[in-house]
Amino acid sequence: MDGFLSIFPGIESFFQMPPEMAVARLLLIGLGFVILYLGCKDVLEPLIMIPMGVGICLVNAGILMMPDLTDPNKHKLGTMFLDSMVNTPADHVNALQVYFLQPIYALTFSNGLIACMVFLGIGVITELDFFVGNPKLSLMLALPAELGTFLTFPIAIAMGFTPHESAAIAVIGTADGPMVLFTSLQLAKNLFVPISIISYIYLSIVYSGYPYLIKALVPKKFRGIPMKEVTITKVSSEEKIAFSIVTGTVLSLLFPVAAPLFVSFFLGVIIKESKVTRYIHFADEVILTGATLFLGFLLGCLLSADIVVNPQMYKLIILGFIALFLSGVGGLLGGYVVCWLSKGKINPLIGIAGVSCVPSTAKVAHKCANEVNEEAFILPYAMGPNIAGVITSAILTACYVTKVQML
Amino acid sequence: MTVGDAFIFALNIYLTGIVITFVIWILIVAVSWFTKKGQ
Repeated sequence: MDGFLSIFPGIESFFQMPPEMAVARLLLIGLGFVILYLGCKDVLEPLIMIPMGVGICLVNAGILMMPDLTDPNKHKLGTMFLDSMVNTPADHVNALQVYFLQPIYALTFSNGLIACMVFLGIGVITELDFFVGNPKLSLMLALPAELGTFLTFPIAIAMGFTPHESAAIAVIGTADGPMVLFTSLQLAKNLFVPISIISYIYLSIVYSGYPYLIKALVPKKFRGIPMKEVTITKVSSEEKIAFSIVTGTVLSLLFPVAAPLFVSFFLGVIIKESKVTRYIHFADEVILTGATLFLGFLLGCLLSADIVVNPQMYKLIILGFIALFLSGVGGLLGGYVVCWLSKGKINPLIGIAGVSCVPSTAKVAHKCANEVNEEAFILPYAMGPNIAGVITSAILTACYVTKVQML
Repeated sequence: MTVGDAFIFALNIYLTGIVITFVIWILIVAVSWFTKKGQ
């Protein structure tokens, strides 16, 4: 039997690890299949979930005895994919020669570059018109939609996390993947993998989950408000470029720690508005597409059995849900306030678009309004709070990263 | 850090966020005014 198993080290490795780890590995291979299937069926966001599902399946199948880079005389269970635990420069150099994904991990994950690349791409596909044309309404709706970012911090502290970890968890409430990635890398590297994976899975579920929240909290007569009386102000490209450079500079001046995120987003917006076609294609089709593929695949490859058996993972699943639930409720409450202030002219559903997650939440608001009233075409209006949500999320993330590091 | 301290800390961050958001709003209005004046 031993001789047979030694021919197939992947199978042999099941017998070389504690039983609970072996079971967790099998469950993760199953989870990978499920995520891949739901991604292919469009139930979860396919761009992230398809590579993530493949990564989870294959990394948990392909485990074998590997030489320990820190001590050549020892061996440990590992994969040929990557080792996220290397610390010293010498170990990094060794790891680069062994693991095929190590160069991408070392050069784009450990320093947050992958989050900035995604943010640059988001900047390029962002429509700023309604936001710059109606900044007061957009920002008023975005702030209540940060309720989860605000309240999850004390809840995480109550559940036993440190302030650094709690801040990284609270940022799940911004519903902005790159922001969560950036914060967890800055503040809680030990929880970076579970926080990022939970956050991306939840963000994929937002599109199918938030409609239930909307139907539970908003009566039909409010959902069908068509917003025909609200005008969309035309905004010139010059105005959007001027706004981007001024806001980016001021925010970087206030929060240098989060300047890489600001510069990436506003550079993307400026590239779009300056209409340099070659840069637009490069940022959208090459940078954003490539970064999304590697983000999903590497996050999947980082999800190993030892992370799943960690009891903190279950707390993170609960906290991620609480954060996004509270942000959704806050967004709808903001929508109600604005509806009331406008004497019923504004559809309260655009409040949930303040939960940034571009453009999913804006599409959810539009879909739910359109189901009730075919004349309710609220997507252009919902994009305002959606973009404002990205900006308020970046501000709150920057506040957390800056202030928590002072504790 | 107690839960009470954590709530006050998070509230502090949220209020800071509101103030900066207000600054951003002023900036948008100012930029809009200047660009329209320049055209």
